[in-house]
Amino acid sequence: MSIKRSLARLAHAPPRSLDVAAVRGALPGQTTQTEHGELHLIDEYLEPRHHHGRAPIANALCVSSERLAQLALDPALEEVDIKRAMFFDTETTGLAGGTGTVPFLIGIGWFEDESLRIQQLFLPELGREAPMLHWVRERIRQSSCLVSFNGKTFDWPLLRNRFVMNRVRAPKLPPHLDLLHCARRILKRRLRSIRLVELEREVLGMYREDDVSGALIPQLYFDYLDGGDVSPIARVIEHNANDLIALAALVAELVSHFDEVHGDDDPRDHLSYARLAERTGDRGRARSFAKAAADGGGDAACTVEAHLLTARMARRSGDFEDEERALLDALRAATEDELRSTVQLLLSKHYEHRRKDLARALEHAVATTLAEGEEASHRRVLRLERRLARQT
Amino acid sequence: MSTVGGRPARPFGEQKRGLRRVAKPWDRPRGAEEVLARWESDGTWRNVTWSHGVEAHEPSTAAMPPSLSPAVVRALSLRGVDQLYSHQADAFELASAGRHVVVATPTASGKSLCYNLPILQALASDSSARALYLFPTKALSRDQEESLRQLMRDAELAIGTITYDGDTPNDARRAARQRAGVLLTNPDMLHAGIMPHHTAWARLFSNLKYVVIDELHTYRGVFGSHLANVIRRLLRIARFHGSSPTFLFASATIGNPQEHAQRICGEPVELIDQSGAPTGPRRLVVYNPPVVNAELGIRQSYLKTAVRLTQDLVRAGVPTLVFGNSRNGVEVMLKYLRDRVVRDQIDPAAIHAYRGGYLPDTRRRIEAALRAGDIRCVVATNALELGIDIGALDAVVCAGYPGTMAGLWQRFGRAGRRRDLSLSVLVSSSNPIDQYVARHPRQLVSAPIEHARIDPNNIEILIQHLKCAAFELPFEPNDLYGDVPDDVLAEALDYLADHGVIHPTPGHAGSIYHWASDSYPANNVSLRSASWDNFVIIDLDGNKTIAEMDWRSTHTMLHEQAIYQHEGGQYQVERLDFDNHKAFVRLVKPDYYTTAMTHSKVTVLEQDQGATIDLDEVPLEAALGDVTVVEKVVGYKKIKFHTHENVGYGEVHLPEMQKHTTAFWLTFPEEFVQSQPEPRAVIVDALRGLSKAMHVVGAVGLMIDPRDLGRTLGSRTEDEAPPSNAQGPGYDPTIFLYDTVAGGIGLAPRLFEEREELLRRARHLIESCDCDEGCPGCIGPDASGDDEPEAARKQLILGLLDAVGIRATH
Repeated sequence: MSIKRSLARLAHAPPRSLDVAAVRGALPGQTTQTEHGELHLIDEYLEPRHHHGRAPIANALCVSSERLAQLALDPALEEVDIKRAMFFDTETTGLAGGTGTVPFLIGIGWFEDESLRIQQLFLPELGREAPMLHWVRERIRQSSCLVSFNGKTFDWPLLRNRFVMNRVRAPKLPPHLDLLHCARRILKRRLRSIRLVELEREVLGMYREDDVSGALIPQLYFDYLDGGDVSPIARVIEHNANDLIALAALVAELVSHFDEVHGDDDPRDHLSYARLAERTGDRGRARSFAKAAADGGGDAACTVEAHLLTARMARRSGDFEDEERALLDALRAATEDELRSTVQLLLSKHYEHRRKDLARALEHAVATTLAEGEEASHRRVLRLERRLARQT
Repeated sequence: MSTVGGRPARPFGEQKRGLRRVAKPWDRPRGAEEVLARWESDGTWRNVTWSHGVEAHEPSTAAMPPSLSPAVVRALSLRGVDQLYSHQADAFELASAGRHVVVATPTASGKSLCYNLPILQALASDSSARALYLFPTKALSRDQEESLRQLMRDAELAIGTITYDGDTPNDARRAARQRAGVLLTNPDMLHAGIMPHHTAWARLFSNLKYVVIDELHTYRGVFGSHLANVIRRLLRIARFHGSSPTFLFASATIGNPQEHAQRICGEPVELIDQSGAPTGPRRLVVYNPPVVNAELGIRQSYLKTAVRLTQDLVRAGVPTLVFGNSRNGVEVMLKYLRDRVVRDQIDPAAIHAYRGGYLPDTRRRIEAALRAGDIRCVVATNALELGIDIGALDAVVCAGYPGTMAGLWQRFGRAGRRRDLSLSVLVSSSNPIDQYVARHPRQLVSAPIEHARIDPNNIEILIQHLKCAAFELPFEPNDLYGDVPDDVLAEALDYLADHGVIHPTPGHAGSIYHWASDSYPANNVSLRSASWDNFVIIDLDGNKTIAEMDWRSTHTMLHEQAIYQHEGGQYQVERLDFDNHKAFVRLVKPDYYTTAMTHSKVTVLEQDQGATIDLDEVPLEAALGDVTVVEKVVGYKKIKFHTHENVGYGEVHLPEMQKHTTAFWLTFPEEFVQSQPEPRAVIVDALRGLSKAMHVVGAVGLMIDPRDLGRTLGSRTEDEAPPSNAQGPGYDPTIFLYDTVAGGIGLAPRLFEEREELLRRARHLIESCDCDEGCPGCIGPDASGDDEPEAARKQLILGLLDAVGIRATH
């Protein structure tokens, strides 16, 4: 059986046909000679006053590394020199991962004085990755940390594959700040989706025009490889540059709003920051953000949670009067039955165990059914009644 | 047997052996010999067509190799192993010298040590060395993991072992990549989970010293052809990372272990097939149930007969394994056996079923109970052929010939004791191959055993793996992909490039092909054709999953209204959710079970070769070519328990299954059919009978599993009606014999070459059969369903063969 005929019989999509007659145009950037071969590079500086949306990107230079480490829950970032951070983002031939997925555009950025320098390494032809990888490796060696969006899960493992595939020794990895995880911790209370475009819109006030959709990018590159027009690739390059700039702007924004309370911020953000400060043992900051969240005029759920957070911190430091006040504030703010019941359960425990005020404990215990179930609530009431009877 | 330190030296492998004898109320002091003696005296023996004794074998041992690390020697010594069997010593020597080895010795002969020992030694002398073990199922790797881990710990190896499959937790996965010295997995996981991420496994691939492929015999047909391609990819990746592993294979009985291993790994392999392990005497018996209806050639039920013989063994306290050929058969026998042993005051729980569809923990429970002696008899499909660790039992009863000699020996091999007599019984069914075996039983020891056949260059399979290979590493000029010739590889790569999944880039020596598609090709390639994607079976009353079943069996076993049998209970399928792969069943108490009726239709796509069989007045057209086969389950029959009468029919509406394959066909010209005195329908039915006989002798002659060869009678051209409702004249009736494996594995071309011999052998089968009118043993019973006896059907077929010049040879 001839292989040709067998091949012809295989049920696959018909061969791709492409309008090769189209004018290709010229790629942005230029080809440079490196010791490891030719490299196609798009090199750009952004001036210190450059804004991404309403956020000045140079603010990234002012962020406190201590706050950064808290934001990332990564102590390795505490000492890093943010001025030497490397921002990076890749455009790839697919989202599947594995050895067959190739980053065909690697965007890297860093600050030089107050300007943001952006270099984008483009793969004009499959198989010519080595010069790109050496270039990136050298840049990483000079950087104090990496900043990416979902880079821990996607971009970096992919790059690591490429180092192995191209027999280029991978650089030692400095601390890595993945803004996806940070942004999720802060913004999950108010944003439905934590994609970079949403963050740009909601946090940075940036609206991209005519941005290329991420899902189309692999195909645009394959079309380019097949001899298609370069203008779609120019749009991909612009998209990637915007992503990089957004990283710098976002770091500045997320950290500076954690540095001190910004009264205009959404109380839900305050609440998230308060939780984060609490998790990292930064009590003073946690209290101020919790207060801002409680007083911010947010919805009941947010206000109650903020009061409860205050109460929890007060209990841990033995300030029972503060705890009582916060719990009563929470109860006043709570409108929904289940939430009220939860607060009353906490109040009941507070009065019983901390204040030994059984009568008040009982007052609240009768309303804990929704929070702890009928049986447990019933037992609680009986116990309190018994103890109260013994007292009198 | 020599003794060391006052006790018998016990070579490895004995660990696995045997049951702990536990006194039970029913445990009478009788054994296999007494049962045999009784059968010889009580009339059972009248139906035994063959009884064959195999002599006991003394052990053949060898000293521990002096090069073995002292820690490994100590670890073995802890297990009472102070010397090796000769085959284990041979395997160690060859493997240590870097030669690929296949060990094909019987069950429970200590095969695992053959591959474990050289690997332990390699790890002991170089802690960076790595080994990869492939088992055909997840369950098997889990079985091996624990004992291997223990052995490695006792050998004081700092490096660990881990099973890497779909169930491995995430943190263990990272450890597996970084630290495991021995990685146990299955071909599917290697294919879709490991190789496409080989960069993350650089430590494994750059230090890969050994690859173990256990249960080699299971990799035949499509699965084997896929595995050979997985190994080609593995070798490419190993080359990239700078290693060149030694392959160690272990196989149960097949005719060509060496050749098969060589086809799988693409390099010369040394064969070790002489076992040094001792075996007690064995008795092999073929029992052909007596004919109860001579006219129709109907014999006593082989299932019931197998149950009766098993009952004798169970009563006599002989641990017995019963094999059925279908899940249905297994469940029917289980029910009958349990019903019967109750009368002997034996706990029905001592009889248990064991099959692939059981969930893992159920299977573990059964294995443990069998070892403990709480279970005395296990009824199984071929799940036990996969070497699940229960050692050997005293007796094996095969209800029906498993289809291949190799399969039969794999089952018979499950009976075997170190010293005492063991018993293997085949109860033949009335189907043609069984009857052929029952009538020529000497062939069981004289005829060659089937070869495991694969075709790694089957184009559909090859193309799928080339995609995966390109994803893993770009194809460079002069790149090697197994033994695929350069021009075929180039053509296939161009084909993929034309379809835009890979992209050629000019290089100095030729094009380099890179993967260029936003997809992960391994996810679209299943190594086990369709069978890997299981259906789950959900009990509506308990609302829980009770079993799983592979996709292909679903059509015949889980159609709506089917009676699904599980652990001796009957469940009716209430709803089959085909899209979501779920079947919902409810426990019922019917007095019947169901069997599906399938219809298959063959359409010729392209004729490759044609030939005329021109021996007499009527020339026959024979041909070889590509066909489409469409199979459909059209309905089901209700079969009453115990009496086995047909008590009703039902319809089934399921999507048809379609595949492309190669076929051999033989066309009888319509004028010839018209020129016969009998009505057309009678002639067509006779030809169908002939096709049945050709299928039998074809399968036997090619030494293959008959299920690998499909058969149907139809027309060469698509638009004509199928023969079942064709009363009138029209098309030239054509007998099709085709490869059931999509793409074909080379059976049809061989039938085409041997076409005249095939017809002559079919004639011989028909002539030498004792029946009058055709029976299931030759041309099958009359299909017309009429009570009126047809004009001697058998004579009619012989007359047709005369006319085309296929005459009696004796």
